[in-house]
Amino acid sequence: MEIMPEHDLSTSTTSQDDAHIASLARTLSADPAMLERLQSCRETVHETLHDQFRVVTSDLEQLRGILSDAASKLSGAISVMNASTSELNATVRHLQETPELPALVRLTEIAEGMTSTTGMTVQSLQFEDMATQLLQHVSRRLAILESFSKDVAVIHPTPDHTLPYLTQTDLDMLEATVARYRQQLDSASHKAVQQQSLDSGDIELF
Amino acid sequence: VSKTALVVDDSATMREMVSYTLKQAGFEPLTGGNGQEALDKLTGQAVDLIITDLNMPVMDGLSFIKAVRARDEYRFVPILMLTTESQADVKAQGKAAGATGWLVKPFNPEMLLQVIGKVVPKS
Repeated sequence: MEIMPEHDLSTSTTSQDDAHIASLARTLSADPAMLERLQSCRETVHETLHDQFRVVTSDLEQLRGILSDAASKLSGAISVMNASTSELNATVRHLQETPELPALVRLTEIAEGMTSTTGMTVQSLQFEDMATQLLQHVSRRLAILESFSKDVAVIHPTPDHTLPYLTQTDLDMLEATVARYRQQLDSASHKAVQQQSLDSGDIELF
Repeated sequence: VSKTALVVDDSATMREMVSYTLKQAGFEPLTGGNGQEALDKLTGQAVDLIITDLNMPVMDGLSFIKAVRARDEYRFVPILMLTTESQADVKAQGKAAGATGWLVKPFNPEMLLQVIGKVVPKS
């Protein structure tokens, strides 16, 4: 059994019901069961692509958030360090002229502040590792999608806007291909980075 | 005599940040870019602490911990897993492999040093 190539489904919508497909098939001398399967395949492909692009967009948005957080924290750290250094220099100059206890206490406070700011910098610089892992996750998904898109190209209308010429075997293979890729994409869904910002993570001792 | 720590992570920035923090606490850090590289460095080397990432090329953190625990001389060395992963099932795998604790990235240096103070015996 074959689908007649003169039929154009490119304008079909996902809301077509069984009766409509059957009617369309009769009009165009095609097998309604095969048309229905092809239409179902196309819907699955479109749905899969839509879902996957949404996931990729969300991952990139998460990445943007992490980079923005890192830039903000590092920028803040630089400002604090600049201010601390200026105050440190002024206090040292003052101490050189008139040694006194309050100035020494202030020196200690500034040193502690600088240690704390350095800690914030160490924490923020870890964005690179998280961003890299997120991008690897996105790349893996895009590589599968690229291959998926090539392997299901047969569902696209021909240049003269007619349905592709498919045999029963072609359709069986197409369905199997779509199912295989959906499984592959599901197994690629584990994302190592869930963090939305660079706030320090949980600690658990066993 | 300073203590020695082995830092294992495929990110050079992470190795640098952890090493910097460890130096503040008087540790001498050794580093490895993945589990296999770290195992090679461990041979014949006494270490007081191991901090390892989970997801790495060549050999991941779980396999690395299992390989370390299989060596008698490292059976009781504290091993901290430092990773972006925070799922309970992954943590359970780490615990089963022999990790001493689990820290989710990014780490706060002060907190890391507090944890190290708890797991590394005072000399």
